[in-house]
Amino acid sequence: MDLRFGDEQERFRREARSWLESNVPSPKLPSLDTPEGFEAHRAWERTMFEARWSVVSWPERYGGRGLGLLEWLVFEEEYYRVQAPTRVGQNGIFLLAPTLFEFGTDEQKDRYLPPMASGEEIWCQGWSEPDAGSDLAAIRSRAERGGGDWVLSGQKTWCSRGAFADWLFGLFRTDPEAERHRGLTYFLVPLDAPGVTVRPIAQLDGETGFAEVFFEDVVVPDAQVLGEVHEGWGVAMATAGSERGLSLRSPARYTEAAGRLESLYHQRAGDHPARAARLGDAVARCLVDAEAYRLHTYWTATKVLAGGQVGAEASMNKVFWSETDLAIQRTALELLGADAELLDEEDRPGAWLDGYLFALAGPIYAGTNEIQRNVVAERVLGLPRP
Amino acid sequence: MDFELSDDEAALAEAMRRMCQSRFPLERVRAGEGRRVVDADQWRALAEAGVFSLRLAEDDGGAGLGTAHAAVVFEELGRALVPGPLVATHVAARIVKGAGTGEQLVGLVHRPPMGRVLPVVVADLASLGAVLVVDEQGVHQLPPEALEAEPIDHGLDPLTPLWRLATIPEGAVVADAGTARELWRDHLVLSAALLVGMASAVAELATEYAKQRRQFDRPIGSFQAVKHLCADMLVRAETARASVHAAAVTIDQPDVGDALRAGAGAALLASDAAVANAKACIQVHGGMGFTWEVPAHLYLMRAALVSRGLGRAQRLAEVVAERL
Ligand SMILES: Cc1cc2nc3c(=O)[nH]c(=O)nc-3n(C[C@H](O)[C@H](O)[C@H](O)COP(=O)(O)OP(=O)(O)OC[C@H]3O[C@@H](n4cnc5c(N)ncnc54)[C@H](O)[C@@H]3O)c2cc1C
Repeated sequence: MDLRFGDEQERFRREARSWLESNVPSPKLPSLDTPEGFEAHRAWERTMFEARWSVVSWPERYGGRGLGLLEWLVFEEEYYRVQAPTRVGQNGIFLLAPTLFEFGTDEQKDRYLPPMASGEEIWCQGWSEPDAGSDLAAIRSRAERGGGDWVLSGQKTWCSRGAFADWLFGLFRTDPEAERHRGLTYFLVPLDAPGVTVRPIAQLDGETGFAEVFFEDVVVPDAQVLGEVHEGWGVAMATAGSERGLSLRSPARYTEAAGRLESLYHQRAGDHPARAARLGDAVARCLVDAEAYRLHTYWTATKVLAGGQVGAEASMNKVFWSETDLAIQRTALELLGADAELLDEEDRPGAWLDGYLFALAGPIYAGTNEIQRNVVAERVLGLPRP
Repeated sequence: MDFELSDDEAALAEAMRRMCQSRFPLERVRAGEGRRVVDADQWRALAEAGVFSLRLAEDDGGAGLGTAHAAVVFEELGRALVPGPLVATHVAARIVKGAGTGEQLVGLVHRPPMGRVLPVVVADLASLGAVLVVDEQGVHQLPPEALEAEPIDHGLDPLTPLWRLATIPEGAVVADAGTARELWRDHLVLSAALLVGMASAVAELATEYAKQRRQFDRPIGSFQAVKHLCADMLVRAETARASVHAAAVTIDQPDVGDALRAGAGAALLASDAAVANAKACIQVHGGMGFTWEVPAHLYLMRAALVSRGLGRAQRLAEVVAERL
């Protein structure tokens, strides 16, 4: 065991840090959930892409640097250290791309990866339907053969960033006769195709962070099927593994937030010594948890680099990161007391409050924590099913 | 010993619930989102129902009822998420003329002890006719114009407009230190009653949803994880309710115990119940819980706001500890 990074990795860290420090947008970009904010975030993806920072772990031919998992984690640490913008391309880059690398044809990789890396095409995820959330295999949206193509119909819901995205990846039922998990196919669908309607949904903070997407006889060619026809469940599970496991929520996100919590704690200790004193343990616990998540991720990464696989273990990560995030945000609100609505370090009112609200979704999206605990219990521990 | 609601307490609760259902259905309450003044018609309806004058003597225009009655009333108001300075106006009715009849809305501010840093946050300032400041000296009354206040436009609860006070002037002393302690104690207990109502409302909302929402070909309430979420909600709400009722009774019958200690304990449990239940309610609703449409988040925000007004859990625990 060795917890030090190599010279190459340290050099890479310095290079990333210096580029990010001189390029990160200031002031902060407007909210992703507004048309202007979305476009501003898209432009930032482009800036990163041009300097080859948007997808460092991808092969060079798709716009990456051909670096490994550890370098990616280093980059993420630097990215969060400077509080760079939320990655508007995250669903594509962190969820679809690993799946494309595993299941895509060369033509598909050439077609979809570069514009994904540059922010030209932003993806949203179309799994859930009104009657199929936790029970994803219950989806009813269909794809049928017609005129040599596929014809899609049905409805998806809760598509994050769907209000402004360009493409959707999702599961559709292609064989209604088959067992529920079979007969599903993974499709790539442009949201400007005829027959697609996108309707934003107001989230609890009033922002339209997700959308419903309706499909009415939407024609999609075979070239937009990812993986084998009727084998979409397995392909989707690879994407879900990325969402729960390594790639969507890198530990840097939480170590950075825990670091901000620590500064807040020091800052409040002067004005509110009693409050700070009683929250000291909670702050320490958040720091320890975030650090533990980081270490656990390095451990997983080491296993993956040695040829191992991340399977159902990803569910453990998901429970841990979502609950750590909530603890960090809640502790910050307690430290702030009545100031929670008033202050943050950049005079943006209520940044911690927004963080708390979003953290409430953590135990729900990417598969609820109840489901993840079942997965850990049944598939990792081998406990009997009910 | 009889810890059941008496017939007239139960009847009062029932009448309040019906009043809230007809005057304060959730759609109507939610129509006030973002508004910065309290709806005058709604306030009048509350006054007519006796919400503010309940505990005043009959000679003073009240019903001469006790805190136990008030607790069941405030529980219903909490359940319906009725907005406005309800508890403050109610406890101020014995001091501020016109509060009991609904002509004056009153704010209640706890002056931070010397050396503590402001800001203090006050709700509904634009609608208030008077502000009472309680501190160790007693109760001070101020006209709202005397306060140097700045509106907060990103408040916790979209149904409660907030202002921040940079300073709190002295103001005229209108009651002594003993009365100040009583006001604060009653405020604690009745706010806890509001919180119990909220805790129950979201527990019911979640339980209903768990019975009706189906996944994997069965109601989600059949999954043990969901059952436990719902059962914990009920446990928190019911234990908090018992201590709120006990604290209210202790105010009415001082010989049974220490009302402040009982009130602080009740507030501690009720805050936790309301906040934790609202969060669990979001969780039981899954993706729906994260929408604007499902009101769970409104309960969460209101619960957080009301709890904050009572002082943090630790502070309440200290009040209990100091009195052991
Ligand atoms: C902010 C946010 C962003 C999202 N983004 C996307 C997106 O981009 N694309 C997309 O497709 N979806 C997205 N989702 C949807 C998300 O994946 C679903 O909400 C989630 O899978 C739960 O499904 P549901 O909402 O139907 O809840 P349900 O499945 O109805 O669950 C309700 C409750 O029942 C529990 N439950 C259900 N089944 C079981 C069981 N077997 N055992 C124990 N408990 C159970 C759940 O844990 C939950 O508490 C998003 C959700 C949120 C909140």
